[in-house]
Amino acid sequence: VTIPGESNFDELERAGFPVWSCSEQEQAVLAALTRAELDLILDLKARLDAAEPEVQGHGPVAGGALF
Amino acid sequence: MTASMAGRELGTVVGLVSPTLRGSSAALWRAQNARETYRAYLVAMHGVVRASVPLMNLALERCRQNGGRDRAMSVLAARLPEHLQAEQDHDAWLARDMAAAGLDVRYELARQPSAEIAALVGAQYYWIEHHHPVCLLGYIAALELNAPHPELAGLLAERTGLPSAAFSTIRLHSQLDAGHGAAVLDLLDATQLDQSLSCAVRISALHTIRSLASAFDAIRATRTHEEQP
Repeated sequence: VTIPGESNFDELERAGFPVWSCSEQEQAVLAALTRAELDLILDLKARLDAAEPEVQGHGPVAGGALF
Repeated sequence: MTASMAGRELGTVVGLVSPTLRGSSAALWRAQNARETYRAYLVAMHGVVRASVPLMNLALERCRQNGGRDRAMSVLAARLPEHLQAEQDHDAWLARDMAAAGLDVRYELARQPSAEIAALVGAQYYWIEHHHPVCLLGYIAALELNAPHPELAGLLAERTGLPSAAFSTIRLHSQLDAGHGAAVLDLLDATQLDQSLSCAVRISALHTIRSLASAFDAIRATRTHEEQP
């Protein structure tokens, strides 16, 4: 759900990202994200939130992307 | 955003969403039948890795054909060959791991890769051919920056009971990919992308992370289904 007039920061913070603790440089990146990028980021955050609590706080038994 | 910061900007965005991918992989590695899950992971990852060199070759070919069109293509045409060299034969490593894990490699490689793997890798063919080859750097960065943790190979060996030789690819990637990921971000900075192409690379990276998380979730769902009486 998007609220008219809401900034990228507001939307990301509402989704649970600690955006106000990001560095100035990171905040500049987040402020300039397009709608398409923001939608993908929010979708990925929703997937994480839907996961079981024990995998949200993953330890070394994580990772595995190969190129 | 300034044009020469595309790599650092991508690093910020990938860092924001990587917990989702790590969560999907953590769930995969916690599955009850660790041995069968790991075997299914090897097969899926072979579907990804066997496309790495062909994807880079395709991007390189398009950059050479259109090298004068923009700075990004010129930089990629000059610098992709060194990255190509670093990725040679990784599919052969995986095939050896598959054999060490007790899989019939010829049978497994004859099977159609899943729709999730096709969505993950196939998008890159589309964006290289129909948008811009630089999109591939988003894919490479997303994968290299989410490489296996250095302790993963040992933990999986313990959980699966498989021989050490079945984990050589994830062991090597855990050692090599942090450096490769940083090199890709540096390469991206060197391309001096405009805002539109910087965004295209980030979209490519975000799609990669979402598709790979879906691929991991699909492996886990299949294994869970097969374990039910």
